[in-house]
Amino acid sequence: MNKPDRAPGATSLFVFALGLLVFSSPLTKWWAAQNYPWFAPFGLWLALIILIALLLGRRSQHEL
Amino acid sequence: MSFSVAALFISATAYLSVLFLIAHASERGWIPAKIVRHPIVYVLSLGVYATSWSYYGSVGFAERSGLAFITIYLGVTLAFALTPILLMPLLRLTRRHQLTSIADLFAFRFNSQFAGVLVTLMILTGSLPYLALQIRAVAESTQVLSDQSPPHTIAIVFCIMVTVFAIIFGARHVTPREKHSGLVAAIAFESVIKIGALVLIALVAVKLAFGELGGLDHWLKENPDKLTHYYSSVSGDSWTGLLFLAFAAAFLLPRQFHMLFTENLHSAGLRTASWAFPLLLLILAAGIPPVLWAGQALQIGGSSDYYVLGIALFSESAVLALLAYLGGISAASAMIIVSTLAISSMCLNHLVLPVVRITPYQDLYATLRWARRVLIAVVIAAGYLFYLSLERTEGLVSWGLISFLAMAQLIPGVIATLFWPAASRNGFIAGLLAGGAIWGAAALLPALSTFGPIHIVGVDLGATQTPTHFATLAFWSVTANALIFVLVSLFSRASVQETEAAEACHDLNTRVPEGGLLANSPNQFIDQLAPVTGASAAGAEIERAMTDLELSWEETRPEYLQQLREQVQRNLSGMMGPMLARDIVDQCLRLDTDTHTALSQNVRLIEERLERHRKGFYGIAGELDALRRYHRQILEDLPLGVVAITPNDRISRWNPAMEQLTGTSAPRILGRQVSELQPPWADLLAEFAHEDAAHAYKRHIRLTTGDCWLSLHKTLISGDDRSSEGDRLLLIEDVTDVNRLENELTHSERLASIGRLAAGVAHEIGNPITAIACLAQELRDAADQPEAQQILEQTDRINHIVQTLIGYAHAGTTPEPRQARPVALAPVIQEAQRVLQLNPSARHIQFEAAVDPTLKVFAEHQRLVQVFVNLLSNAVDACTSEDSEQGNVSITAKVSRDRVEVHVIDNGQGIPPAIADKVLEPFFTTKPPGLGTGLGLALAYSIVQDYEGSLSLQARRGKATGTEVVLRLIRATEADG
Repeated sequence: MNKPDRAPGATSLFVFALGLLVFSSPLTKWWAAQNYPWFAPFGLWLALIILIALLLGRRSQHEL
Repeated sequence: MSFSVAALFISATAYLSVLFLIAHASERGWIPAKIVRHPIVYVLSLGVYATSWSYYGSVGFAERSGLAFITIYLGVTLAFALTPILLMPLLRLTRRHQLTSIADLFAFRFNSQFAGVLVTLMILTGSLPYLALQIRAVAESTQVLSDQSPPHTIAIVFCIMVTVFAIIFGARHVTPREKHSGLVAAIAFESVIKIGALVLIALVAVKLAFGELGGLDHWLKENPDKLTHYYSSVSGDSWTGLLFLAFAAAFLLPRQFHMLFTENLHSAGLRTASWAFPLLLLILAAGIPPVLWAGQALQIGGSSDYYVLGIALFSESAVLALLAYLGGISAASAMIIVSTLAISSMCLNHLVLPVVRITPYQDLYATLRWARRVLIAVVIAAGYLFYLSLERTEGLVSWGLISFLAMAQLIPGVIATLFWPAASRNGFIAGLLAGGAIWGAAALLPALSTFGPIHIVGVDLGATQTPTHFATLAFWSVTANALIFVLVSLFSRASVQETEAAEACHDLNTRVPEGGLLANSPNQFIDQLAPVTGASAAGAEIERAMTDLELSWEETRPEYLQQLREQVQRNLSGMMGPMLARDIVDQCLRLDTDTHTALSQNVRLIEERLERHRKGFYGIAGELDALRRYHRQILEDLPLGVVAITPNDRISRWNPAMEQLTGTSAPRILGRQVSELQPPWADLLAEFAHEDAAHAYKRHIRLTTGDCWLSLHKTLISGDDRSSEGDRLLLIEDVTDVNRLENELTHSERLASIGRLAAGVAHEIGNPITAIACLAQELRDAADQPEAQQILEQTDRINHIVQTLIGYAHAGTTPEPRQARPVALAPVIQEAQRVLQLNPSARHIQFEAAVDPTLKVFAEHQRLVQVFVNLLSNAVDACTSEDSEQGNVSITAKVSRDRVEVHVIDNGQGIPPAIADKVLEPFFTTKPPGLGTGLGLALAYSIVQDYEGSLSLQARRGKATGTEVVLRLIRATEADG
């Protein structure tokens, strides 16, 4: 019998939640208050994109 | 440095001409398809998201709101992080049902033309000012570079050129299945230009203002307020709201929806886009802060919205300035072209066609194509008129956010479409009206007019159009929208059609078509469709749908015709929207609702659906599916033919045993009438299905392979909730072999009884034979007559035959072997030949015996003569058939170790392979009844076995026909004798 598919639906939600945590939570305000270099937010953004590419960029049964 | 308007005009025109060239080259195939269809090109085409607002306005946005400007791109990243569960299902849905716009999607999901109209109006209202904004950006950027008042001429020419481009390359096909590869390639090229230009400007800006990147850091340390302001918006009120607005805009903006779903070639492109498109936006956004700070450091002056141009001018490089200008042109033109295409498609399907119905006297495709072209021109013209009235608006950002806010009102609907089948049309419309009202009152109207502050629940309707204002509005409008949507959905009941549409959106559609089609063939479909679409369009649409489904024009099976009907509806949906397509199909390809179709008539359809979703069955559903497969496998593996026939005589099950029995495959026959079967199956099954008897034994039919006997059994399956009358299940058992065995047994018994009689008769025959033998002996002795000797030999042979026959009849085996002694082979063969010569039919046969006279074998003379008489007799019979040439029988013998191999070869017709293994069986004969007993070869075989020899038949090698009998006997030497 089939087992419930955890990926990439769950993975997608995980990445989305992580994105929210970094960019729309108290954590966002915390890193914004640290006076990091101006490009630091872009670094975080790039990390999120790399995560998406690694976790979601593969072929899956959700495709057509 | 400044440019003349003419120079800028020529540059813009030349650039747009290059776009034409790229689009044309793509469509002509001058650019290889593997490049045009590459996922990266698709990703670049999504760059249409970045308009002149992003290109120019982001710098101004960053100046006013700091880092908040990246929310417009971060929101997109978050939306693309949900590709597998948000974008991919939407792509699947739009492709399967050929939905070309977000309005089509909602009209289809909620089965409501009004929903489509409402969404179209809202998008149109939200987008027109945004289009105007692009025209304004082009005009203002020209003004910045030329230091002249806003040149409306260049705005008009720009509008005309993008209109022509959109008409030529964006409205060429009326169906979404045919992609506009030229458009995609051109938009991708525009992305390269604008992002490349922006990155270059950023690098030049840093170089000019700070010398290097380290210089920028140093400048920021010297101006700490800049970095503080940069980060201050993160903790502001607008951050999360803007993220949400960008999230919605990422796939709901008309241009995004169009490029993401309508122009998508394959899902791999979307998979790549899930990370590559955010990366593209990151590259674009990363250049904004350096440009802003460079502009400030260099004290460029003027509006920060146009620092991109200002820095280019400051660099004193005409090339860079022109590149910066063309980057803005590309951002604006791409947005206008794609948005207009999407909006015109929506307007056509939901505002024009429902009012102005097409007539059958028009060319449907040409009408749709021209209607769309006219709408493209009208939309861009409306955008231009809006531009003329927008002079007073302050920043580029406001109109973008107003548009984003309009799209955000569709988020509850999208979530319901994908995840909430119980959501109702009334709920969607009520929620959208509520959210739309807030959007219109608090975002759109204040932007269009000036009136004093009006406070409602903390929202100032007349407030300055700041990002914080839009973020607050986003919260209130979408919250009100969603709450009302849910509330009304909970208290309203969905229609059957709406429920069906909801299930189709969730891949839950388990309904099977009810009611019979009035049309019985694809040609009748054309006849029925023609009064609405015109004959040529009807023919083309039916042909296209049949090609999609790989059906033939001879198809008459109702389930396949139902599929054809659904496919026609889907294809029409792509051209004129789901609601109109449904209306046309319901009106033309009507169903006979009085006819109730039984579940079994759609077994194939249901099984196909279950197989398609097999991997998605978990828990109890998975177990039920496993059970279903097990039961089906029982029927499939049953060694009996299984046929299920529906009450209207259509075949709904046909198992592999039946395929083997009839030679007709299941896919070919399922769904067809029983009468469409090949003879004699059609008559056999139809007659038995309608007989009262539940069983029929040994029905004889004649097949190409020979006679066949079948036993048939029948049972009636109880009707389901759709039909009181159930299917008839037929079991067909092939009893041909059993029947043959029974016949042989009967024959054997009859012959055995004859044998028993023969045993008694033998004594009676023996006496006259003995008398004949004595008389012949006397005659021989007295008159020395050679014929007498022959009479003696024949009487002796009669004795042997009778004894053998009795032996068969009594024990089923040959008699006990007599004493074998060395027998010369040549005389035996000569004697057999002499006997055969008595047979008139053998007199024309040429016998050729090449046997060594000294060759001896262990046997008995008389019995061996019997063997050769039988073999030669058979050979003679084989050679005397009507179409044979001159008969020839050759007998050769050779020694092989301790054996002697005798080959009896004839040039007759040979033995058919089908009976080759039966010719040695007793009573098997190919001769007509009464002309042969079938004992000749069997007796020979039996006698040879008695002497530990062997006998085998084989076809002759090479091209020669005939039979070769190989006899192997034990060799006797002189010593044995």
